[in-house]
Amino acid sequence: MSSLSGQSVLSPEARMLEAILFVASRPVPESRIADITAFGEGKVRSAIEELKNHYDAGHGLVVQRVAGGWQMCSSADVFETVSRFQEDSQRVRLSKAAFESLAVVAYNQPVTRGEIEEIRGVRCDRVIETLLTVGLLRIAGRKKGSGSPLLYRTTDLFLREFGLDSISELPTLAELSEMARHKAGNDDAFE
Amino acid sequence: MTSLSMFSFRRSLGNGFMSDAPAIAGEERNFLVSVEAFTGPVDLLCVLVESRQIDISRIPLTDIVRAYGQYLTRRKDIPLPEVADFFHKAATLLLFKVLSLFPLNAMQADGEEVGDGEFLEDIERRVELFAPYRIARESLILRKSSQDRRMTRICGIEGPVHYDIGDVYALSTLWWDIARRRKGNAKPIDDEEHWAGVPDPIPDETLIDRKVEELTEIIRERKTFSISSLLREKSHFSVLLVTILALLEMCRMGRIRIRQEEVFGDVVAIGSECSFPGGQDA
Repeated sequence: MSSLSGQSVLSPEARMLEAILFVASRPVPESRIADITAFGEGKVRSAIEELKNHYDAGHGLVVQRVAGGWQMCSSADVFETVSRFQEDSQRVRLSKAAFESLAVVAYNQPVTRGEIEEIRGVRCDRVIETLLTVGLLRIAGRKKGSGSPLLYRTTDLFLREFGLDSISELPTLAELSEMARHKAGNDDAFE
Repeated sequence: MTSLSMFSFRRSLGNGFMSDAPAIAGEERNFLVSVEAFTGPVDLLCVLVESRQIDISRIPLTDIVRAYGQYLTRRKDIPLPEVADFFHKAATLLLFKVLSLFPLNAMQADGEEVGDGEFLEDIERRVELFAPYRIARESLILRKSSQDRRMTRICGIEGPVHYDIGDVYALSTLWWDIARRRKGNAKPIDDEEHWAGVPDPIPDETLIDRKVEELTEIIRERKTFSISSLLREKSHFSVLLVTILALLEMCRMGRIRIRQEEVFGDVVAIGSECSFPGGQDA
């Protein structure tokens, strides 16, 4: 990145990448960028890094890695203004039970409804129906065995909605168990 | 927070069950609990367990159970066994907490059981199993809240979706589209390409005609057969239904006679040129 009249100027590769991400409505994987631009993987990565640094320096947009690709989105600090402009109907509003069910699926996928209910201790048919409808869960076949129950997995939309590059970005169950034990030892929920 | 979702405990502790825990000034204390903040009984039990550092004997569990029961009742969609299961476990937990206030030797002297070990173990197991997912849930809520502050370009119209008969997800999506269309909340699927790869449904009449032909062949070869022998490998309800309808149709056409020796017993079909040895035909 060079400087012209006090303003930073992007390299040609970063400018091309910027244009691609500007028109894209979904995260674009690095491999796709490499195919389109015919840059090598190394050049693509450095262009991404350059673009990311550029937007991190006080812009209204940021470059974010999510769901296995890159996308441009508005910076969190301008949310109030942008949300007044853009109707927020595209956002999925979820209940606490839905978040909990998603958490169970995310950590155990593919998982059956019965297994989710065993962990949560409540029936989950309606919440699963909702999550399927909004596209955060998908049916991933049937489990072999009695009744052949449906198996559920999280979707790419789940990754995008939660700003995750992949499921492995979530803390592990062991880490969560440790946190839960720590919480149980220290938390005083009624005070 | 609504009045239903929040309630307050104000209870005097002059019930004779005093523990060694430090006394609370004025022997009276308020707790605010949001029942809507719980996603289920295990969630509530987790909070109870996590709150063990305060004097648990002074948490009026019965009030919590009652309030949660009212909440479940108002939801109207909670199965009774689930509510009963929660009450049972909460009551057992309460019993355990009350018993834990007594010295162990006094309990043994009376020959009383300390508690229902199986249920307590079950509660502990459930709480232990569930606890990490509570953390994960809160983490996801934070993530979503953070990500919601980052707006992206609204997705435009995508190309046609290609359905593969083995792709259950795509078929379920198709199903949801049809369901939404029936509710009048979505655009109708009028694009033929949407149905590519999805076979046309076979009318019921055709299915029965095919089954009649199939059974006629069997009758010609074997002269007689039982329904159970036909369904040995194909026990799906639709197969049973089509088979019965086909048998009734063949009976109407005079091709076969059917007989059932005893109630709920096997049904035997026999070619019309043969006769049953005794008994009454169907």
